[in-house]
Amino acid sequence: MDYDNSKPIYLQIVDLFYENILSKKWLEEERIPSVREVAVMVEVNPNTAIRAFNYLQEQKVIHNQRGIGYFVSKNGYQLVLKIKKQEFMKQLLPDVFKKMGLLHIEIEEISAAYQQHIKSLDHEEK
Amino acid sequence: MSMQFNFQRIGHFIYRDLLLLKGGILTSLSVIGALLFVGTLINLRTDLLLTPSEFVSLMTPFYIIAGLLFTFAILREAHNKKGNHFYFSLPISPLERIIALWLTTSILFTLAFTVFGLLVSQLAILTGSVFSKVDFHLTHPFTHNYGSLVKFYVFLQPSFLLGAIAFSKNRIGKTLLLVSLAVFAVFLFNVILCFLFTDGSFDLFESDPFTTNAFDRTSTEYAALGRWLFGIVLGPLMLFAAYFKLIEKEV
Amino acid sequence: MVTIKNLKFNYPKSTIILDQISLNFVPGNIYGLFGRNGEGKSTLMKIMTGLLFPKEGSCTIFGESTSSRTVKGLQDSFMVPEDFELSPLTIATYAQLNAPFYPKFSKERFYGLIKEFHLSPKDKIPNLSFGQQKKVLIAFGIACNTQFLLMDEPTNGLDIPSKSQFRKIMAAAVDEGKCIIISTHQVRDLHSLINHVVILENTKVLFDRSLSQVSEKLWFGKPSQGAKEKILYSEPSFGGKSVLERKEKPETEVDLELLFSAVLEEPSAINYALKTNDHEHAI
Repeated sequence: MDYDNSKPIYLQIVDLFYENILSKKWLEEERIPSVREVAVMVEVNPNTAIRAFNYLQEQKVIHNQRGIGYFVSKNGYQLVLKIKKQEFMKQLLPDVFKKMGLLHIEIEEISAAYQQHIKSLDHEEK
Repeated sequence: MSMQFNFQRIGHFIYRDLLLLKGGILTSLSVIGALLFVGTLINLRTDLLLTPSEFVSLMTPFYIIAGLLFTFAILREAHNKKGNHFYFSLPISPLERIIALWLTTSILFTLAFTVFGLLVSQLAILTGSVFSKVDFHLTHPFTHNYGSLVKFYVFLQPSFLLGAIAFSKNRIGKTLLLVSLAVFAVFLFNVILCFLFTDGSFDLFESDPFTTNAFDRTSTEYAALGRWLFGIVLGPLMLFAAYFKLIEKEV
Repeated sequence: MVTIKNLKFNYPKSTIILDQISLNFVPGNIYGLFGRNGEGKSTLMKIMTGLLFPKEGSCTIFGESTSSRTVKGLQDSFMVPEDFELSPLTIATYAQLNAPFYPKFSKERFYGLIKEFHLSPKDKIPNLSFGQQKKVLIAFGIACNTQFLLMDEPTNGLDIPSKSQFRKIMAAAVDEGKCIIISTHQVRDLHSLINHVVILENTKVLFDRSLSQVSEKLWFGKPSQGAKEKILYSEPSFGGKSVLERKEKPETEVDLELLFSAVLEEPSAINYALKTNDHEHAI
């Protein structure tokens, strides 16, 4: 795992979990790796990994079954989708709008580029 | 206390020391073996017999020199700037360490060397019996001389153990100096004893060589005291000093 | 637990290297011991393993002085020095000779690590490169399962894949309740592992804090112009990063190199920022 220098590592681990859940690598109500396994996998201090687990538990994305381990919550996928969507709308999009303003890019140009993108995706699938 | 003293640990430590020195031990033994073999053959030429006392005098120089060199070699690890951190942080108490060192370089060495010397001499006798007129015969070391030799070594060796621990450079030279000084001090002490006990009539500069005179008198008149002193200074006291040196040795 | 109190040390006929040092090392943590060259990091580690004796003050392990080299203390501490020579044996013989002294030694772990490091038990140690020899010693130290593991520049001489393996091994080791103390200049190799920083400077402990304390109170990065938080330290280079009081800003990852420079340049400002915040927190 490569670390973004400014974002706390535990939040980067959280992002990794989100990614695994969104890409369906980790399914709902399925067991996920232990704190130790995660710490070893991403090469961090287990204390940092624990922080990520705690954070995800607070978000109710995962839950702990005593003596067994951690599981993705029943509605974990929907929750992560909501969280990530919000993150996109609130953080990424305002940045994009700001850049658009600076570079005088109209929304129509974006729309056209988006249509193009969809088309090429369809093309690829065929 | 049980934590600090454990026979098994001493055993492991002796085994560790011996295995680490395996190469050196084998080389030295083959050199000594060859010399002893030749020495025995030469001895056999005169009377076709290797008597126990001849055997003992043959092995004496090898026994003493090899023993003292072995004592220095076994502590080489303690002075290796890049290796002694491991040596000193090995979980073994100083008491166990000194016991292991002493057992190895004193008792085990004497036993092993005697057996080795006997085997070599026996082999030489066998060789002689095959190639010349020598009749095969068994020899053994159990003579009065052998007893004195072992006693001499066992009492002298702790001084060298101390030197091997205490000095990190020119260990052998410094130790020899230390031992000669100790011997001289005890000798001087005996001279003074003679002087006192003979009420000043004892003259250092009599025509006789004074050393013989002094020791003659001490050994006849105050033999017990003089020998006791030699034993104490060169033996247990040095072992004790070596133990304390080991405790306060830093890397 | 290793406890150091008012420790003073100097080599014979030499200036004082450590003075009035007081530190506490608790299991379950990975301590990063930093300092400029020659500030006594290696010396401190040697004192902690009983290889050197304090001139004043004390250093104890489980309540007993490390300089008395008790078997109990030694059985629970292992040091991997920066520079060392191993006995000229095969890896297997090396382990066979030394393992009996460590009651918690795990053969499986040792040979597992040796395999992981792409070494073979039959390899002769003198034929290995320095980096490989270091791997042997690290593997042995981990397998000894001592509660305290001290490492002086452990990643020096390790190749790039081994550094990653090393981090994985350390992460697992600390999870088993070990106390790991690492002295290093290669901060980048280990910053994701260290959770407590000790900085030695000019014979003293200049800094001794857990990183969770630091990330709670300090902010690391390039501040936007007109940031109202107080700048505590800025890198002198163009486009350099700064350390700010965090206040309400989002948490950032502690940049250890930046923290190190900041503490060396502005020790009182940094320590004060951490302390005053402690105080506010208490209220």
